[in-house]
Amino acid sequence: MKYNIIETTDTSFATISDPGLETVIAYFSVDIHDGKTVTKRAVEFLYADMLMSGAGKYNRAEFLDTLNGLGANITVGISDGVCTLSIRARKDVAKKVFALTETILLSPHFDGDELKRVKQTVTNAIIENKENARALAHQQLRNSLYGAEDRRFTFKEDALIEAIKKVTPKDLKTLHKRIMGQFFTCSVAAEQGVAEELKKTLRKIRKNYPLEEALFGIHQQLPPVPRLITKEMPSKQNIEFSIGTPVPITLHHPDFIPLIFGLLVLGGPLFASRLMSTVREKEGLTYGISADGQTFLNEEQGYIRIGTFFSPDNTIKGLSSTFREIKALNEKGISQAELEQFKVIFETKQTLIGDSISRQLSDLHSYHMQKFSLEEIALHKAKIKKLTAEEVNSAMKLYLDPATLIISAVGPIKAIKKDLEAFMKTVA
Amino acid sequence: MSTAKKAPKKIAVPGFSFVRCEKGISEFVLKTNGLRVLHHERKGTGVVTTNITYFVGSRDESRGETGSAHMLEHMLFKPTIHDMKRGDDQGESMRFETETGCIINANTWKDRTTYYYSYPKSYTERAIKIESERMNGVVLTDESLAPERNNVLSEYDMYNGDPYFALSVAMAGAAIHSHTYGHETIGHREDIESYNASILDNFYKRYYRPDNAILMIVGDIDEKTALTLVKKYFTTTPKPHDLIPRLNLNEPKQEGLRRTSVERPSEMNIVSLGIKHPGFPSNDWYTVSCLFDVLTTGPESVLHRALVDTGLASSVEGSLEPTKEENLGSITITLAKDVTHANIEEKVLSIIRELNTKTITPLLKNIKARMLTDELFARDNSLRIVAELTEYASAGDWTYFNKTPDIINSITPVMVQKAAGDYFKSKNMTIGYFIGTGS
Repeated sequence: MKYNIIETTDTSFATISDPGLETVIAYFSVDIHDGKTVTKRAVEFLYADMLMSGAGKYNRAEFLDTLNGLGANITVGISDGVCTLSIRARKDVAKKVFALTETILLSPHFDGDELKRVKQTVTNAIIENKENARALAHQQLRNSLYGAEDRRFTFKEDALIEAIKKVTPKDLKTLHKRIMGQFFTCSVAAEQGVAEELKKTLRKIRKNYPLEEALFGIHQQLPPVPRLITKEMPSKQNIEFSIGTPVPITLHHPDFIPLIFGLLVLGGPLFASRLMSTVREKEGLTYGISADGQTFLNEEQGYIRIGTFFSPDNTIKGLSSTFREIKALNEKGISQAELEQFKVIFETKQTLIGDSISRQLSDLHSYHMQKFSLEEIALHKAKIKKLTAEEVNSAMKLYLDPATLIISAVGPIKAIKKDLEAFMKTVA
Repeated sequence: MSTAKKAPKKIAVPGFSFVRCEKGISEFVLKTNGLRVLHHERKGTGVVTTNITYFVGSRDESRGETGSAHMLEHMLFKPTIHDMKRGDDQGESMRFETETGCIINANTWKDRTTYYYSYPKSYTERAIKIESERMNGVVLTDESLAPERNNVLSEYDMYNGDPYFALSVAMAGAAIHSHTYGHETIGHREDIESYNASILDNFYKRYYRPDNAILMIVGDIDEKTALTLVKKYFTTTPKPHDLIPRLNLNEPKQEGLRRTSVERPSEMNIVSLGIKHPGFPSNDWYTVSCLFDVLTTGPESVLHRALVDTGLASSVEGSLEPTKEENLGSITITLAKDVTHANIEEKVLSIIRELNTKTITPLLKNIKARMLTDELFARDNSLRIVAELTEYASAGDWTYFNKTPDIINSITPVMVQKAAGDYFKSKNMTIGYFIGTGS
């Protein structure tokens, strides 16, 4: 596999190429965050489906039929203020799929009748998601860590539904123009010739949408105020928890790698992590528990999140065990043996990426989106090998203070709400 | 079409019988005990995945013991008798993950229980040794079962909090009266709470044996090295003399439409239409699979256009499991606000009745094109390759791994239309409602 990143003033293009690749996978991302309002978010909710609902000579049905006839996928999504178009196809149809991509990006219809349909389907999907307890617990946490104009903030369903009703085709055209005028970050895994074809397509699109002034994204991380946020959901058997705190550093800060390493020891997705080995394996209090650092994006500060769930009967025991482990890591840090153990684990994870072209591209694109060069990616990974226990422990002391953690819970809480409130007092 | 070659005269490692080789996947049998071995080399990745699948699942559970195959799967990550002799109280199967960070996991399904590791190739010997030790060295005590039972109950509650799962459990119970496919793999909560280690031990002794398993080694490892390691660690594993017990399962004939419902304090409302479908990987199974795709897969599918695009439903999903024998497949529709269950049921049945070849033809053409792409992506890494092979092997013939494209290509719009009429008839259907009583 040959890796390459070429950056110009308006586009960065990363490739993983190999003559034997029979498939093409590509991600084309644009950061469009410029301060959220419920109206802007409503337009973004409709955009992905509308982009696929007719373009150039195709109406929606014709477009879907043409794309599916090639056995290919083009999907569009907006998450945390980043719009990503993904392509997945066989090598032999790649050129045709790129041509379809060009069509939807250069001449989308944003037709009024289609908009009516999409408003209805998106509204129904939002209502359906109202009982996704895990996602709601996470949203509650993020909304308590970030202000309403931050990319991580989620508006209430009813407000979104009201705003969706007011979206016009003109709003979608404005958003599309905004997206297309921003810096393109594209990563592709394909045979070299296929990657070159995609590059040509991007150049053509760029010609039609020259780079405009960069958007100004408002970043509103709030100071940590420990509290309990709950939402009653009697249809569930377990209570879903998202526990977290803001971290006032970016991924370029010297403490970033020690912090992420410490969180891997606490709750990486492995039985080796402290939370899995104790709260799940030894104590049998939950089926799953994890900890990680999230949404450290370029110059923006991310947050720590511990995600888990407990039955109402096990909730206080489970939270006590979880906080016991957090406190121990905060106060005593990791051992030298743990440092070495998790360095080996990190190495293994890097090797496993090599087994799959999809994994390799996801890994590359996540760095590429943060504007890392290939040298910087290598350097970033090499830093983990040189990490010391002191560095990790200092980061844990600074950023993982149990007294600053916010607990967000969604599920059948009613019967134990008083116990939860009492527990929160002991923590804060 | 089969591309099987004749058995070569020389096998890289003595002690194995060569069975066949198809498109780079070779099958062998270890002569001493009947363990089947599949090997597929993927040069240069630096990664190997090993997967051992036992042909035992929830299908083999009796009443009162539902979920025991799955519970046993959890217990295979506890210390074995071999670990105890070494004074290892964590157990090598778990230690392998905690020391190296390799991917470990397992899953239990109707017809099988599967354990797998994916790791840098230098760890291959360690992985194969672990599988050999837990084939006959698992220690099952009530003491070690206790915390794991709680984890499984937590897993059960996680699934059961989902209205789709709750409805699917009720549907399977209503549709299937005698066959053990009538209960979910995780089992009933009441059974999980009550069974003890001796039930699991009996289960383990009956089914965990070399002649009831297939070991897959896929990745950056050559055939000789792979077989040498298998021989080293498995050749002395004894093969029990008694026959592998199998329940004699005969599902009584269904004589009319069956119905069930689940009511919970929820805002969601769901209609599910279940049909009994043929076993996998028969041609009829694939025909029903194409029918489900025509009806439910993607925004261009028939029910998506009729229900989601018109605002009557928020989503439409099809579910068809690759089980060895006849089982329940379902089409599940999540209703939009103020839409009634009865109206959706009537509309869906009417759409299926009126399904014609004119509608099916372009959709089927696209399904075939998409499948070709899916096949390529499904073989992107060793974990996905073994996952796919597992389903074919559990259904009785792993060589369908290479035959699927030809089967799908042979399916015609007329066959799909006929399947709609044959399977969606009242004597083959079970209809379920999830009724949200408000929050």
